[in-house]
Amino acid sequence: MIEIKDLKKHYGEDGEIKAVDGVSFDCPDGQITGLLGPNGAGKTTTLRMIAALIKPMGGTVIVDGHDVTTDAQMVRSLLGVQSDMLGVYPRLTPREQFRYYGRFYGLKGEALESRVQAVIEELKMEEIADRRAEGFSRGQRQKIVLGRALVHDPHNIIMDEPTTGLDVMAVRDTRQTIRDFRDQDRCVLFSTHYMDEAERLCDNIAIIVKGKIVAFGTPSDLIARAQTVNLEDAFVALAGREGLLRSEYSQRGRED
Amino acid sequence: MLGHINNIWRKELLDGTRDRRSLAQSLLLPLILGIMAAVLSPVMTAVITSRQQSSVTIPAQGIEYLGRELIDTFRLLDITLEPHAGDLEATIRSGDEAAGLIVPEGFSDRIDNEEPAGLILLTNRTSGGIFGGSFSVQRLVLAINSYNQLVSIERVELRGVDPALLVPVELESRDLATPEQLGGFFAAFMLPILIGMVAVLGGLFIAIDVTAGEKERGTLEALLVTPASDAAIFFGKLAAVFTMTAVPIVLAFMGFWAASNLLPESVTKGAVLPIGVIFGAILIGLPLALFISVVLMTISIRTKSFKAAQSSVGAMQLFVLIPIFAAAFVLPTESTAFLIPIYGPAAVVAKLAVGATLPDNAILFGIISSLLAASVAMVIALRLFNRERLLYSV
Repeated sequence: MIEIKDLKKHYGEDGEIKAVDGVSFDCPDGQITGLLGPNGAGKTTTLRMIAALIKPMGGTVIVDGHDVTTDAQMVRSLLGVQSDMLGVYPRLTPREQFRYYGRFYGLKGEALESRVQAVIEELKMEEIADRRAEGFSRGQRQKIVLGRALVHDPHNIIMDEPTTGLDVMAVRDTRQTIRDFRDQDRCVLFSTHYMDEAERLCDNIAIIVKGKIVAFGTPSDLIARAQTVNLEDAFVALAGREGLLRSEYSQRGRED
Repeated sequence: MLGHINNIWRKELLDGTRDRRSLAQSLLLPLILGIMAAVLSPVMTAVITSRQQSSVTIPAQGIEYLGRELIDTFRLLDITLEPHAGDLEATIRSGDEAAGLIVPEGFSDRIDNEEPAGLILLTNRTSGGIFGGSFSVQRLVLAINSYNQLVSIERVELRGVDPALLVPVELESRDLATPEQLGGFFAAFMLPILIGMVAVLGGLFIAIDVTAGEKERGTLEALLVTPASDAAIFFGKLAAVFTMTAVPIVLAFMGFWAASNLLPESVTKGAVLPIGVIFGAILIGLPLALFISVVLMTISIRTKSFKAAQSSVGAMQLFVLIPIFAAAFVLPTESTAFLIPIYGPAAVVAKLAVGATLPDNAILFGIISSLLAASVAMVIALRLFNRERLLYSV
């Protein structure tokens, strides 16, 4: 379970750019929680603080009872993080890359090999597992990125825009994988800006605009609260058109 | 922490050695440089020796005014005077010839009349490059001195004076250089340069690849979300860079030594560098490799693309090579000078090569200077190697 409490991250000399400003919500086990927001809303900064990549200026994140501000290393070991960057090591095979990441989590010997093999089978990568990643398609690289986040069999999974840029089949596979995680009682937190994806996959959605959570609930709750017919309209209504525009343009230059 | 360091070290080496271009630059090039330096040392010695011993032809004007005795002296020292028509000064100034001799009219008569007689020697020391003109000039000066002595002896003998009175100090010169020292004559110049070039070239690609390359590929964030600490990531990567800097140094020196020993005796004249010098150079070279590795990484960390890192590291090569060249040309006399980073270790290698007696603690100082410099650079690098800085730097 991931509990996010009053998380803050400000940038600029006087902290005038409030990338994340008092974000709070919970991601329970066995559920998919979506973080929805326009570009520049603070999604990636929030996810990076949860993943102990950057330090919060205020508030905290508790992962399975461990506080990210006091025990970052333990929090990192409890998470499987798939970033939005599809960078892979082109001179290494997927199997070698999974071994590399598995060792960071204390896996070795037979346990490492069997876990690597399990990930390869789970992601249907048998044909490419022992080929160097040079020239891999976007979908194949996405599988490596996902595989290295899963190699240590984490209970809590964070995914940053996991389907962006993928072809139809790869998107279907990724969405099914996310559903499988829920069925395995894992805690899944993922960011997206695809409304249909969020509506179909998420048990709960946190809408973030200008670094603040403006709404949190199940997709049907949000639609009902906004009195709209679908999540996209609900999102626009709850986030506010002006807020969306300001998120898009006022924070340009800094990453999401 | 050690497990994480080992994991990163193994992965970076596997990754780095799979790139043929970087492997060639890291391992093959240093080996070739070592072999080339070994071959060049005796070749340069042989060129200089042959120039010192070969016959010298000097353009001259007024040869007809020289006496028989002076011509014989020149011949004895293998100097041939060649009549020169035209402007001799212009010829020498243009660098076409290294030296020329002008014999004034009546020179021989003045000698016979025991009057002061002068010769004009024109030289251009830039002619012929580093193996050029000075040899002709030295030989000519030697010939004139010999002739002066000869004539003086004749003159005092005619007057019944003991010629020994003309030579209050007799200088007997003996070259006591051992074959090993002769072998180290050029090695003293080449080994410091070799160590500097190889240290920079060897670790260059991997240092950039594990820092700026990781950012450019988009793999950095995935590494930073693992439980490995900032320090473990830094030291794991540094271990890989150090390996790829240290191995080429060992290869270059072993290549140097092996090639020296494989050269025929007719080339080396028995002047082969002892293996102890090679081991000494490696002992000094490894801490230096550590320092250079940290500096390479520190510079590369600050950039976010491979290309930007290559440009930044270019300036760093100068930073290394300037003190190395200084050591190749000017050896220190004070022990404390061996504490100067880069210069000190390079000077130790140069002194080892010529078999010179090293001042007390010189080797220790050379090692300490590199380790101290590496420690300071590591503190700086560790401050830069912090997750948040890395994600948002530059």
